[in-house]
Amino acid sequence: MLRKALALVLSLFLAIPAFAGARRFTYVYEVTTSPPGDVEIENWVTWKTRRPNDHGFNQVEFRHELEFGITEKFQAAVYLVDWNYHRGVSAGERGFTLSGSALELIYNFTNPVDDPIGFSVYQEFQGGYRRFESESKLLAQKNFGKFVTAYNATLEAEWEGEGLSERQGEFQQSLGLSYEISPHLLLGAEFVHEIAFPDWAEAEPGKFFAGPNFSIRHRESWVTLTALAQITRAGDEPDFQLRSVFGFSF
Amino acid sequence: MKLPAIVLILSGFVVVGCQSTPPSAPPVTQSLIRAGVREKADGPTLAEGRKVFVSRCIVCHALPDIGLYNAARLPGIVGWMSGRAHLNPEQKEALTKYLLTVRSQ
Repeated sequence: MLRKALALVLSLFLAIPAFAGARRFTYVYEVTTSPPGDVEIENWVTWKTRRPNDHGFNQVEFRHELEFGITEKFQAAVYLVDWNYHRGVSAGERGFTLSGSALELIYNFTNPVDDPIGFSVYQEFQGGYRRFESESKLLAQKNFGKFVTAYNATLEAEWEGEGLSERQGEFQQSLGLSYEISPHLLLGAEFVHEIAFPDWAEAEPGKFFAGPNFSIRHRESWVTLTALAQITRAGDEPDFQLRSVFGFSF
Repeated sequence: MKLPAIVLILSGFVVVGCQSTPPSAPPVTQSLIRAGVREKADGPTLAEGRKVFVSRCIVCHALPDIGLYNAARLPGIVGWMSGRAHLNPEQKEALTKYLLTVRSQ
C-alpha cells in the first residue's frame, strides 16, 4: 500500500511541467518571487550528522512546501508539514517527530538586476504541538550577469512547552554565491552564521557553517544541493549537513 | 561583532551594486525607440518588454547576451519559456519586441 502511494506521488511529480522559481541556494533565500498564477511544490530533505558531543547523531528532516505566486511582487507558501527522523544519544529516543506547519510570505521591493540592490522582506509563522515560531528575514541580492550573490538577515523567535512558557531567540546571517556555468548547471557556496539567545537572555557563542552548492536544471525539473560543514565546535550542532531542495511547478 | 559584519556585507552590496545598467538589458532610450519602429514597437511596449526581461527571466536564469542569438529564433525561444514564466500574451509580445529591437541594434 505504502509502495503504491509512493509510486503514485512520484509519477505525479514526474508528469508535472516544472522550472519556474528554480532555486540557486538551499539555506539562502533569493529576493525574486514566483510569477502570479504559478503554483509550485518544493520538497526539502536535510540530513544532519555527527555532533561534537554525540558522534552517533543522525537526523533527516523533511519539508513539503506549496508555493503560490500572488502578484508580480508577492508570493505566499504553505509548509504542509515539517517532520524528521532522528537517532543518537543527544536526540533522545530514535524515531519520528512532527514539527508542524507554517505560512510563509515574501514581498519584493527592488530588483536585483536593475536596482543597486534587490530587497525583499520575508515573514514566516510556524505552529505545532505546544510550539509557535516566528521568523522574519531581510533578503538582499545582486545579480552580475551569470554571478549572483544573496544575503539574508534572520530574526527567529520560538515559544514551546506547556503554555508556551519556554522561549528562545536566534539571529542568523547567511550568504550565498552562485555562478551559472550553463543554464543547466550552477555552482556556488553558502555560509551560515547563527547566534542563539536562550530565554532571550545572554547570547550563546556564534556557530558558523560553510560549504559548496550546486544546482541542476534539466528540461522540466531542477534540484539544488548544499553541503555544509561546521567551522565552529558547538556541541549541539551537527558537524556536517546536506540539504537538497527539488521543485515542481504547474 | 554582529553589526559591523552586517554593515560590511551590505556595504559590499552597495559598492558592487553601483554598476551601470546591465549590458544585456539596455534601457529604453530614444535611439532604441527609433529602432523599435521596425518591430512595430512603441516606447511603452519596449518598456514593458524590458520590465518582463529583468524581472521574470532572472527567476530561472541569468540574462543572456541577446547579440549572440539568431533573431529568427528569438520568438520561438520566448514562446517556449513563456509558459514557465507565466507570461500573458501581451507580456510575451512586448518581451519579443524588446529582444528583437535590442538584437537589431
